Amino acid sequence: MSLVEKYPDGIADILRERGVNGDEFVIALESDIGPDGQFGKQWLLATQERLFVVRQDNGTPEVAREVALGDLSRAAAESMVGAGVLRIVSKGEPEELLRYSNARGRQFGQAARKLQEIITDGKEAFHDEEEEERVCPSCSRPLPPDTKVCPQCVNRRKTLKRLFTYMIPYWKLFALTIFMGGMSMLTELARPLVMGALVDWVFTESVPHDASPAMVSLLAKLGGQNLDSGAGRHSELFVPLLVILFSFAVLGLVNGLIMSRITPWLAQILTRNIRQELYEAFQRLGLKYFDKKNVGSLMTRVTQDTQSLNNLLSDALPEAFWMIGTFVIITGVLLAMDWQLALIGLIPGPLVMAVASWFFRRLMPNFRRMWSRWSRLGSVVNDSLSGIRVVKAFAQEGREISRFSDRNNELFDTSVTIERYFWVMMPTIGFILGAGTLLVWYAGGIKILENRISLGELMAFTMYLGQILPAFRWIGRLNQWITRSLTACERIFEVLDTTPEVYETDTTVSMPDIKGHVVFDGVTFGYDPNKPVLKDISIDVKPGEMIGLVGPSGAGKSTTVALICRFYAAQQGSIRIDDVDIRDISLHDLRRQIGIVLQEPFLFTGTIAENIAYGKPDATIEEIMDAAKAANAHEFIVKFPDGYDTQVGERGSRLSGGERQRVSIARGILHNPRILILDEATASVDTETEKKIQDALARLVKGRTTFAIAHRLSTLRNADRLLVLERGEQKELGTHDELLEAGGLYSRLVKMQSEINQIKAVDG
Amino acid sequence: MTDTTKTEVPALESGAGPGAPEDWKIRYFEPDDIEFIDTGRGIIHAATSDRCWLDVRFRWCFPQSRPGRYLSISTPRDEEIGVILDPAKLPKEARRVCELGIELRYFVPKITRIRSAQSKAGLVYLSVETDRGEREFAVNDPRENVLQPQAGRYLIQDVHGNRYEIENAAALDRKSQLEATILG
Repeated sequence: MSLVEKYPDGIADILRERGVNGDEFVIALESDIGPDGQFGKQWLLATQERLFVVRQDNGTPEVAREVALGDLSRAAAESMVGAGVLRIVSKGEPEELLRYSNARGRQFGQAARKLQEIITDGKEAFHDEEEEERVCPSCSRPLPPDTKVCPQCVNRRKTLKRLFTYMIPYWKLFALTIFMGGMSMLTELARPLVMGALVDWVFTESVPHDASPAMVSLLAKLGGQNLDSGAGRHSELFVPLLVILFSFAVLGLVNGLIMSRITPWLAQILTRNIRQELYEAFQRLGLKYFDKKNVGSLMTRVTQDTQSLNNLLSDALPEAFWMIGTFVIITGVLLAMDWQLALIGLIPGPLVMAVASWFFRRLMPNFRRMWSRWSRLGSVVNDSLSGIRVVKAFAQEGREISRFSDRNNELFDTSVTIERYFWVMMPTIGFILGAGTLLVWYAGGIKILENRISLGELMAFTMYLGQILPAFRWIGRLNQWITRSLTACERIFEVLDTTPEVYETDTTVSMPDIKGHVVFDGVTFGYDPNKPVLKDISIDVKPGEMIGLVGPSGAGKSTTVALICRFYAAQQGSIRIDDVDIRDISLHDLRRQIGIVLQEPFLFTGTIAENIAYGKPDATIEEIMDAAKAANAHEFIVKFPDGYDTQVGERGSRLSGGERQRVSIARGILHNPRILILDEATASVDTETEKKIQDALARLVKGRTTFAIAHRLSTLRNADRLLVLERGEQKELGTHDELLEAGGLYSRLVKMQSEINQIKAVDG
Repeated sequence: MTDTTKTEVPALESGAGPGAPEDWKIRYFEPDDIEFIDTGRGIIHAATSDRCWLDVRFRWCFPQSRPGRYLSISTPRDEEIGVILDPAKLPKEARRVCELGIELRYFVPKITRIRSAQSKAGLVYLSVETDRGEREFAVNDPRENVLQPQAGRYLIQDVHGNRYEIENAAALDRKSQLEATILG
């Protein structure tokens, strides 16, 4: 992210007068809040020596503040409510320099860190964030969360083109669908002509005003006689014409039946394939991708976005194809039949479109309001029924009824509004269409009376109008519908295009048998490169050694183990396993030989046996049971009616915390890792269960390099050495006795915990 | 720089502990218990009869349900000094400085007119006029980011975390009211 933005020439001029050239700036940022607290502009500009705040109140730039960076002892960006403020301490005096809205918060946060780097002569190093802007590069509008797809700028043609590549394997079926669709359209188009002929040649004695020779010849063939004279009724055509109409109906039915088998299958197969590809892409992405994403929004991509795609393929595109095709052809036919009548007949079209659009503009916000109110009503019901014990315990039934009543009334109001709009819209459009038809009958009627057209022609004409005029209601909506679906489609493609985690490269070293010699060499890391959470960590861990990671919350313990798993890469220094840089080790080999037991073990929906064998799907039954036995889990498992076949429920919800933990330890034992990570493995269980887990863990850690995190320091008594961290810094390293003797942070933590334990003992 | 120190204050303690008699109890200030010093550079100091604090912060405890009451004063390290029950009863100068501190913390433009509101792919794009000037912004999922603490009152958070308020939708012009429907 650049900290030097384009600034007005006027600013460059006044700063040049102060001896500053534009190319000296390391910071040039525009704030969107003026000095008066109104939305406006002011500028922060800084060189390596000086800092300026420039205001541009009435067009003329003016330096409002100039500070020598040598006078600064601190620069910081502080978040407020709805805005931020850049504060400095100059000559020991704190002051507010300027304010900006949160839209500019990241830039000014970076600027503050840059200033701090200059002030501290690089001791507080500034790292340019890799994170991309959260605004669309094309239109500068804000982007929706968790995606870079701008709904305003979706390249519809490109997205459609890419979507069509998924259709290539099924091109024959698509061709057949288009052919059948075309046939269906032609049938629909021919029907009014046949009905018109039926009226003109069979039911009335009138002769069509300008019956084409082709039509006359066709009818002659049908009737088996010469129709040249054309006079009188031709009852011999009655049955043949009805047969034709019936064949159209049969053709329509057959067509519909064939389409009903092909179209849904095609739409679903494409959606299935893309959904599968999307999920596979998720599995291949690195953990970093998921850090800043909301699980709900990612799930939405797999569920709702693919559903939108399905709607596009099965509804929107065929509908668009049908509507546009019908519209173009019928308009052409109408103009060919009688251009004057056609223009009169099409008058209601734009009117219907305008009226429908007017109503939809009012209806759509109300629909959204209704969905929102439905959701709120659902929340009230969910809260209240889920917490019914609490409601009853506090005797708050009346209050809950009142909350529901409020939400219910809100929903009622919106629903009534929507219904009212519909009740007005439908008759209004009906009236316009009716009036339009009347107009055509009037103009057409005059033409019939003047023998310029026949009754049959007029009937065919009105039937065609009846086919296209109602479509005007939806034409305006179709565009929006397709855009929405294509945006969803583009969000899916965005995931598919994200670079996956690389398991193997040309320089990857295969390490099928890791010994477990782990070295941290001056490792510095931060999730945000500007805010390191681990600073210069160095430790040499022998194979089979157990290291306890100790420190207050936020010290960097979990981050340390995340680096061993290579979920992230160190920004400075290196981690080596058996003397090979962790970045060069085959990720597959590395992770296969690392086992993790977490505080909140995650079990997958399935049986206990499946969960134990998760890391080794080919494990034998005996191996599974041996692992469970070693994890002190076998006894409770066999007590279940279904034993190892017991379903653990979603996330293992049918097991207790201690049971879940022991199943996860069994999973770890069976996985047989060379490097073991225990992250608060016994934090959330009772004392008796903890003892069982401790015993199980003691068996698990034997002979493996182990990194154990625990707040309860007593659980680290088996550790060979303890690494004490505080705010990302390595404070102490040594055995329990050495650290106690040293009287540092570890000693203080032990003392504090022993006091807490005494209080707990007194409280009973 | 304007220094409006009202009384002679004891030595300043930057970021020192909150100083309440018992730290686990909230210290409530009566109007005359506390004074404020405006340095004129966006920095405000606070003083009681026995102690002073540099560069204090102001936060409403109940900004939605009890606006204008329960103002928490804290140090830059977020240690609370105490709570003013009713800032409106402070002496005039203290009230002025207090309001300045509040204004520094809260930037919530009030929407006076909605020029357009458009929904696209889950985002609502709004173009509005506020008491702080004109603005265009986007709101993600209004169900999550638009609150209605009272009927007709909307609290809106945009995709950047900026906040806006419609004090009373019924008082807006007819077109704005219509556009506000999109907010839920």
